[in-house]
Amino acid sequence: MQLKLKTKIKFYSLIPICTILLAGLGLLFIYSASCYSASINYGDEFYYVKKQAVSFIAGLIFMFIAMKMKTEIFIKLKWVIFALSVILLALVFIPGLGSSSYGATRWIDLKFITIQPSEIAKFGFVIFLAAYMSEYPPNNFKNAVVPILCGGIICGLIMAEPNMSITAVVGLSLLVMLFAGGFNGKLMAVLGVCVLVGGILLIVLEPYRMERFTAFLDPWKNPKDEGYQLIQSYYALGSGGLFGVGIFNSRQKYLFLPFAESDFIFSVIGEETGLFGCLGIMAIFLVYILCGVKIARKAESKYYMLLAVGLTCVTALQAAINFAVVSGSIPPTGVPLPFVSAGGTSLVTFMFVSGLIYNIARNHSK
Amino acid sequence: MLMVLIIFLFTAIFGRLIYLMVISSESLQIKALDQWTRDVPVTGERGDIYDVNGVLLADTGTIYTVYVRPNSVTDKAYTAQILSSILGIDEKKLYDRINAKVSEVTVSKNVTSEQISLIYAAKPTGVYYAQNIKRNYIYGDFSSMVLGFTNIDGVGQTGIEAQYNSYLQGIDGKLLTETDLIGRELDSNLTYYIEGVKGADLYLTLDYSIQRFVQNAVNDAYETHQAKSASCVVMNAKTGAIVAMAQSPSFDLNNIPRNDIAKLMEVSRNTIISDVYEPGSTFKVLTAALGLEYGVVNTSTTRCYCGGSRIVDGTKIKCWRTIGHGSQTFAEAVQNSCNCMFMDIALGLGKEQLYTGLKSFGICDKTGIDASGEASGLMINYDIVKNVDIARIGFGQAVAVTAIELLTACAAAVNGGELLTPYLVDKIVQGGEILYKGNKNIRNNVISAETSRTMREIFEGVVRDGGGKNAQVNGYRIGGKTGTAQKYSESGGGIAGGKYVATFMGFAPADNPEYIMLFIVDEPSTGAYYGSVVAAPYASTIFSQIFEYRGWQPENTVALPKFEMPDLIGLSLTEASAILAQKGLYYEYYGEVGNGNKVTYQLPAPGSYVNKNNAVYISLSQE
Repeated sequence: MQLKLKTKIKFYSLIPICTILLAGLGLLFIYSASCYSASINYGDEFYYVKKQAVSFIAGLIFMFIAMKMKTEIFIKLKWVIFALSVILLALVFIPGLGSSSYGATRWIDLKFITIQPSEIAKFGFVIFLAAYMSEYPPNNFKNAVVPILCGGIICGLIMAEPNMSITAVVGLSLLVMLFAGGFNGKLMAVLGVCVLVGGILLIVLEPYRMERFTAFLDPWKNPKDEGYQLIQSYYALGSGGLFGVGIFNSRQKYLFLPFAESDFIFSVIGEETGLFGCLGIMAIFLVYILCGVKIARKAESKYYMLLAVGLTCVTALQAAINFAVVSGSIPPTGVPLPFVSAGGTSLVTFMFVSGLIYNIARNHSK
Repeated sequence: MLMVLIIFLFTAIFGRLIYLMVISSESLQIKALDQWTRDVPVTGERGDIYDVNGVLLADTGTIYTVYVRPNSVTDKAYTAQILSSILGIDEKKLYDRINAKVSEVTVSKNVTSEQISLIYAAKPTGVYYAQNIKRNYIYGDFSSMVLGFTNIDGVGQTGIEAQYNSYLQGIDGKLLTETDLIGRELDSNLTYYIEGVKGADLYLTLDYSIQRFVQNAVNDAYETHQAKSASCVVMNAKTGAIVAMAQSPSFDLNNIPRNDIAKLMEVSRNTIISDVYEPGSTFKVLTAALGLEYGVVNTSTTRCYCGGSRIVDGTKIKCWRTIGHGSQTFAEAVQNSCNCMFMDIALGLGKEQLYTGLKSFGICDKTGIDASGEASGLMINYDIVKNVDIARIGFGQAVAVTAIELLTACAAAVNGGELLTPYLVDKIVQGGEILYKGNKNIRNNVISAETSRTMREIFEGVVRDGGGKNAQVNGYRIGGKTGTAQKYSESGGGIAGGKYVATFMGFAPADNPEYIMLFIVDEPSTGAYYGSVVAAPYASTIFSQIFEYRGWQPENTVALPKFEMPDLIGLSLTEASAILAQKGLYYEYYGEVGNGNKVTYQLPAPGSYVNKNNAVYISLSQE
């Protein structure tokens, strides 16, 4: 109700508005969080900001394209999209092409640019799902087999990088979309249990995940190793208090907090702008997500409904996981905050997705 | 439903954020502050030490410690060059050190503020400094054993510095510097300085002036007599406050031989409280007091015949005057320091009264003086002590005491009977508030006031007419007792030939003693070794200086005609003693009489000017 009153234009304009607002805030806090480490490591305090600004401009172009494009095309191209996603994910394992850092192979190094395929593939998969499930509604087990199998392939590839958090985002998005597509409640429960057991198995099989798990319960047990990152995030948030220490005044960014400009940028925001700053960022995300859900509800067809649900769902889950990791609510796992964290592929794809959601609202609403 | 789920998720996370950012905020910040800053301790200044009248003896000066943090150095060669030239350090070595992968290098701990200014002006990078406090002893080699010293970290190691360390020590402050993860200082350059708190000031019972008199006297005695050491302690006989305490050789507190631990321990030991020695005749003061107190002797009827020795249980024990003292009253026997008299008293007391009596004088107990390293005396075990030993104890042999133990016992004998706890600290003050006050403490009432009065009279006689004559100060009343003890060889076993301890115990004014002193010359090696001629003259010097310092006027000064000291060399003892008696001179001798032994050495030397208050020392041997 209020949304309508406030926005004489159209409520769905909030999608690009929130997108640009978050990306803009991202640029500001990336600068603040990285200026020290960038000047130490690259001799240029704007190193990360410059890269992010270029990606932002690219993102704007992609968003504009997504707003204008014919989204029906995805239905025809669904298998191509799926195949491309799988190929992209597989490319990281080709020696010389894949690039590793911190024990994970997540990037394709094209020399002039580095791409993170999982950022693209997760949306590719969601688009594929929407297209497939609109054709074969998963209201019986037979129709659910293909989405689950395809989801298994995508999850398996991302897990092999490894990237636990994006795997979780993809798996959970699959569940949500199956549910939205009319999947049987009982089967849903069975599948949910399977995913849960699988997740636990993954944690138990790889010792480093177990360590991270215990680190999350008591980070001060190993303050120099597993617990380090989380403790540093706590220090940042704790120092921020209610109102923060002021923009650019973070102390944790002086190399204490690892990935301050990417996965842990929310800690720096908390340190500099306090609880109210965190509330603000979360509120913008909430507006964006609620908008996405509303667009899905008003979608003219099942395909557009599923597409809006899937795209919004990935964004929402990833934001929620990031907040949860930073605040120590779940075991630490590296996941960027959509729109805000430094990372070109991530920003461009998320902005492209915003364009798609806007496109659905504008052209395919009831 | 999806919306409800998402709102629930966000609310849960926000709840977690409230917990972290509001509820735990403070505790997290405190922990974080720890990693954000590097701290350099700033030493809290140590309290000053004064004499009883407020004369400053020890204070603290500021020196600086210079550090280099290699991470913060942009031009290592320049930093090394500047620091090495200003601080006089090897440039190559320093350069290597600041090139090492360490977070901090301590360049020098002994940098003056002038040097700091020079370094600061040259603007080298990565150089930090912290203030340190260096102990400064105003008079250097003065009261060294009493004051003691601190280690390089400012913790008291010996003497008063150790004993009262907790009062003197300041509370350290901090210098906090904001740094990044690996210790590089931030551009904001915010530093927090938490000032140290100065320790309490300590006022000794020592009186600077009297300490100076005593110090000069022991230095003189040490050199004149080529002694192993000379020491002296002056105490207020009524309160137990130590007025002066000095020994020679000593050492400069500002230049402590820290590299030679053995030497350091040797020179810094306060022999007055840490070493035991056989007291010899000064111990007779205690025997006399016990004899009077228990009625073994009295001043009216007691007579003692000395034939030069006593036979105790078949063992012949000689008097120091081997030709004997003849028949004497008790007072005369004390003046003569006749060993036979004191053997008689000790045997008369018996071992039970002697041992309990000496115990009540604090013999073989620590006095409880407020200085570190106090020892206590030794006596032969009560269960195995024989009469021969008891007789010897009577004149100060077969017993070992510390100087401070003997002095407090002697003080009890002449001050009315109060055995006191000697003390070195008058008061400890911080910010106008007195934290500690040294007070008179009576451990024990040993003898009656009446006995004590008799003691004062008898021992005034020793200085007036007997072996203590050299301690006289014309016009003043002084009491005292000399002592000459043979030393036992340090490896154990028998008497060490030719090694003696010459002592003098004196008190003044004799009728109402305020000062009591013990002067010890350990192993005089220039010929004379008797307490009467080696130690007593220094007591006279010190007392006369104290009287003048206190402004006490002399009474009944007698003009003593001076005359030339006769030449006694080559004479027999009989001939020499006749001449000395005619001149009215008191004398003591060493050596066997008879066998044609002649005087081979005399002090004062022939021809020097003397008066009849001089005590003469002669030694006899074959020519």
